[in-house]
Amino acid sequence: MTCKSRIQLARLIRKIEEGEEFSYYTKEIASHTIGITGSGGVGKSTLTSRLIQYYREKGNRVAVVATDPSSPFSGGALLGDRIRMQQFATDPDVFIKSVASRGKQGGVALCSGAIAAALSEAGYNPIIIETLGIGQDEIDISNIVDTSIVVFSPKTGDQIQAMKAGIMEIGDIFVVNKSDLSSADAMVSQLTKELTESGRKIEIIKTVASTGKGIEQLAQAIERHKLLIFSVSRKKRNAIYQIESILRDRIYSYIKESLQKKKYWDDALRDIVKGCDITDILKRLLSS
Amino acid sequence: MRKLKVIVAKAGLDGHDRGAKVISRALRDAGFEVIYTGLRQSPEQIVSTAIDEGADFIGVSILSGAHMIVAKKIIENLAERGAEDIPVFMGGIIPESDIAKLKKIGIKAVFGPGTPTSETINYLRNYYKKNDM
Repeated sequence: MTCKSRIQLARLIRKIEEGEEFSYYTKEIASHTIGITGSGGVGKSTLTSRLIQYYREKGNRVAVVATDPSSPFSGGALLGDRIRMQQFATDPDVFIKSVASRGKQGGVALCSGAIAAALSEAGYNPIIIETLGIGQDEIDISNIVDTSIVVFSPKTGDQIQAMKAGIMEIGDIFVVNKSDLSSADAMVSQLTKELTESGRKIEIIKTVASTGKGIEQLAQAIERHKLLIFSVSRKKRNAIYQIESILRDRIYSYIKESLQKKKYWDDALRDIVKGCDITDILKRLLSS
Repeated sequence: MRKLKVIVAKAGLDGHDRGAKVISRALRDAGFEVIYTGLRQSPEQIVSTAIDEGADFIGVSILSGAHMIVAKKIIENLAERGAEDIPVFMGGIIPESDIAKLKKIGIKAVFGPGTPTSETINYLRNYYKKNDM
């Protein structure tokens, strides 16, 4: 790809991000999409960086969409996932895009799937989508990608943690990263036990992302999963859900702003606190 | 309205990143989306990052004394890649006498130590408004 079209791609992606371009939300993604999720600090970005390296050595053109949180106070964000991937910044066959969550719950930005569609159209394959550091119920990644990888690190909880709902229920591959730590095997056996008891068959791969250990095995597991799902039928992304969320946000902001201008909004909040019936208030707001 | 996106990069080989971190945090708190690249970035890395991220601004912090060379390379690289419309501002230890020279080669503004962060924030916001980016 020439410089000029790379700029065009970047500008298209920015438009998708800013909610100025919607056609990519419903476009098919031909490329294999891989999700990397897990708590903050387990090594998602370092693992992603290793996967970029692996796929580059295989000759693939790789793209990454890395998510970090927006501040709920200022709306700003400090996106730092790239720091671990900067050695690929000048590789013409690697495209890294950082996105902020912009108030969206669930671990990924609303635009992530649409950005992946644009990157797929531009010939990148695979496309890795990294979530922000998640807690326990941020599972949206599994609705967007073909292969979800849940990353754990040792010393992050007992079996009850592993039994909890949420991220334990998603994931096509589990990774125990930082597996050079002595408690790694205990973590693996806890996960194995939980998977057995819930009747799920999922590979658990041990990695040390900082040294690259286990990356080959992880990549093979990813390939096996890819062959499996591509040979049957790939799940469809729920794109309308994302567009609906954007529309809902815009309607909300629009209505709130126009009601705030005439003080209706603040009056309504005050009356609700005072004990007025919320249905009456709602009727009042909608008729104003 | 678009969110403003700023690349904050540490160019050259010095490891003094406090200034870069202070400005990154201040911009975040002012509602900007800041992409922090980390230390020891080459001009090529900075320009590629700015292009791929669709950045509105590039902020470069440098304390090693190599600011003239680094600035020149960044400006040249942006032009080569057809991205000369991305404005570049700088911070760090830059002698007063070099500021005019930097502006002459295309650096939009220089914010030295002690600059209130609000000054940088206002500058970026006004630049965006004025140029209707």
